[in-house]
Amino acid sequence: MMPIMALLILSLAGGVIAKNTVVAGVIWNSDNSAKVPLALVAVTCNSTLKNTTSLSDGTYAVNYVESEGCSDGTTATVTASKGSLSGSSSGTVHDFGLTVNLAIASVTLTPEFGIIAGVLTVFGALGIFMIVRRK
Amino acid sequence: MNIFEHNKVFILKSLYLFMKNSTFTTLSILIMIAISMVTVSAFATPEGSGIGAFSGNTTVGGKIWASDSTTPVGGANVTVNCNSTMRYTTSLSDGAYSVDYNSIICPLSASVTVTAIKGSLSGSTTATVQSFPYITVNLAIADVTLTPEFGMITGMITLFGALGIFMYTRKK
Repeated sequence: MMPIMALLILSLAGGVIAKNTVVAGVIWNSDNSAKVPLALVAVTCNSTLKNTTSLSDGTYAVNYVESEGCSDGTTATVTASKGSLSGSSSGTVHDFGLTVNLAIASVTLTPEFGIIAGVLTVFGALGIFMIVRRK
Repeated sequence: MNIFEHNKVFILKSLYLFMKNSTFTTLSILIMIAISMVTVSAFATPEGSGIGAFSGNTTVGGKIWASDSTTPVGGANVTVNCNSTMRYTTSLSDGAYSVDYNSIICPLSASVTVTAIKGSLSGSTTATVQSFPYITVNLAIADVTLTPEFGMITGMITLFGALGIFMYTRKK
């Protein structure tokens, strides 16, 4: 009886180790030459959204506990923005057999479409104006 | 020793006492500890402030990229160096790799150097071990971009240089 009880108690105690998942990465500028600090980062894994900010070296990380279902094989989507720059990326959660599961998703920030469209419009208008004036 | 290990040692000690004395009090203590540990796990906050928060490990991870910085490279040999302690691994098909250190060996603010090699391509980068809010391990994120090795570049320049001289000479 005693060994059975001891085993039961130990298995209860041992079974509580939950493996967390960390989604992490680096936020880069548009040509991947510099890391971007203080970018707003939104991570979605298994429909659970987490927000954070990149550190001074451009890295970010968020944690998911086991019950949130961000487990091995799940895809984490990361969106980052800073000022008029934004970008997104995704990474797969891997169980490397280490302390935590890990998904790496680094994001490259590029000018938003609105900015690009705006700049193209301005230059287009200027070009047409010059052509008309020449004629 | 983290809190979980501490509890486990305590349980084993209590178990020993129970075996030795077979007292009802010891059994009660064991059951209470087991129940409290299960309760702590069940009611841990979503940010993971449960037992796992005391792991004391440093995880180094990242992705290996081709020179275009957009194509992940799988099967690259990755060497991680933190405080002269090396870890070796291979990148997965999506370029991801990860290794673990005990935080005594690779503590907070330590510099980590990651070198990756695949065929004639190689690359290296450094990262700093950081702590992040709500993360149970210290982390260093190091993405590595692979470029042709110097020998390869030199070889190509030599080859094209020789071809250029040959063509120039022939024209004359």
